[in-house]
Amino acid sequence: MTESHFNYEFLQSGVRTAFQMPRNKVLLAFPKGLQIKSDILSSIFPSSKDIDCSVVRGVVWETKYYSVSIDLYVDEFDDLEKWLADLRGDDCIELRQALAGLIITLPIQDGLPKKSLNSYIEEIGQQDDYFTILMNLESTQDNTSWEEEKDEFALSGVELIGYLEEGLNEFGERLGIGRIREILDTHDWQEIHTSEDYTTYEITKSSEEGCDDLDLAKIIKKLEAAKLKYSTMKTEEEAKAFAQDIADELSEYF
Amino acid sequence: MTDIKYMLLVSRQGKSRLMKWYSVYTAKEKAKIIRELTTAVLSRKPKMCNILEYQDHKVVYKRYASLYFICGINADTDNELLTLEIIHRFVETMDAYFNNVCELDIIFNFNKAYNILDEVLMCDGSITETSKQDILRHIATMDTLETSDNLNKVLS
Repeated sequence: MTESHFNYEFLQSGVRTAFQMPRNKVLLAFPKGLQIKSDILSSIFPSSKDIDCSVVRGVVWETKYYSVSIDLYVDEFDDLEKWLADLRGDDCIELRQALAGLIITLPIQDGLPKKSLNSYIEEIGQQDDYFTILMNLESTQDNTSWEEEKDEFALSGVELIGYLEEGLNEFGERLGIGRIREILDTHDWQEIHTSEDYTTYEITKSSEEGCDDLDLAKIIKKLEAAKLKYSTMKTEEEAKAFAQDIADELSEYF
Repeated sequence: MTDIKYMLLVSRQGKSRLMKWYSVYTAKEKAKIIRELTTAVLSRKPKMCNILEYQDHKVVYKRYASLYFICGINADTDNELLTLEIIHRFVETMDAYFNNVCELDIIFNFNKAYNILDEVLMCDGSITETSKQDILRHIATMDTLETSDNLNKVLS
């Protein structure tokens, strides 16, 4: 039996149960002993705690439209080629099924590991709703082929990102960590909590609070929340019933 | 005059964010156009021309941040530069409406993006409005009507 280069702690500690859960896990791979690993993790996921662990659960990813709870699986590799081969293997089927995407960080000095990346892309990387990010720790300023390689790999669903890049490119696209955050923002996460859920929360909360200390501002807030909630209802019956409930509730205040 | 056949909005990762068809295509033809144009446009280098020939018509595209705006136009009657201007006006209007629009705004408010596009282009693919202020005013009126309508429904 060949030696494995993969950290199987993820498989033992929750992926089996996560199999039935939303596909909201991100696998991050770093070269062994990389000192800035924690810095990179905390710059991508500022809200995460325990970033030194290999499994970080319940990281809240928040945008102005939604929030979602995601799990981070952090691994290290000696040899990326072998690590990717292990990830492609049968032992990692369940892990792959639980992953939303993969972020690989490595210093690219002598060209991209195209062979192993292409095998990975063919077998895993081109799934729907799956992202792959390859972050180069080296400076890309003097790398003339970097932009071309970026475009080449973007077609295969792999985004090349320079860790030291920042700001915007000529098209107004974010660079560096900002781009990673943008990819995570626009990913089709499962079981997100949108502002509509918040609206439901607002309505429920104010109902629970009772009407004794309800002032006008609260009534208006409640109406606004009700209006938003109403606009999302699909059937007329549901909408009518909801409107009736709100009207009954409000009539008590007056 | 413009005679746009379709407008597609595709992300750098090849995901379709918006699509509007102004000519008649079957579902199979639409899928083929989306698939082929996504590959063709995303594989073009930044310095390459923004106009290409495709099937029996031309395609004009422009990239804004991580989004590609792709228009199919009639090769004989349409003007490529005018099409680029239409794309730019659509982006400018969305930018003003969303206050610095990003891909996430379009994903979560795609109906608003369609409303803005409907104010720019008519259902036959010709320009209906070029004034950004007028478009924004129309959209604001629609928003007000929608809000008051919903409120009336809740209160009635």
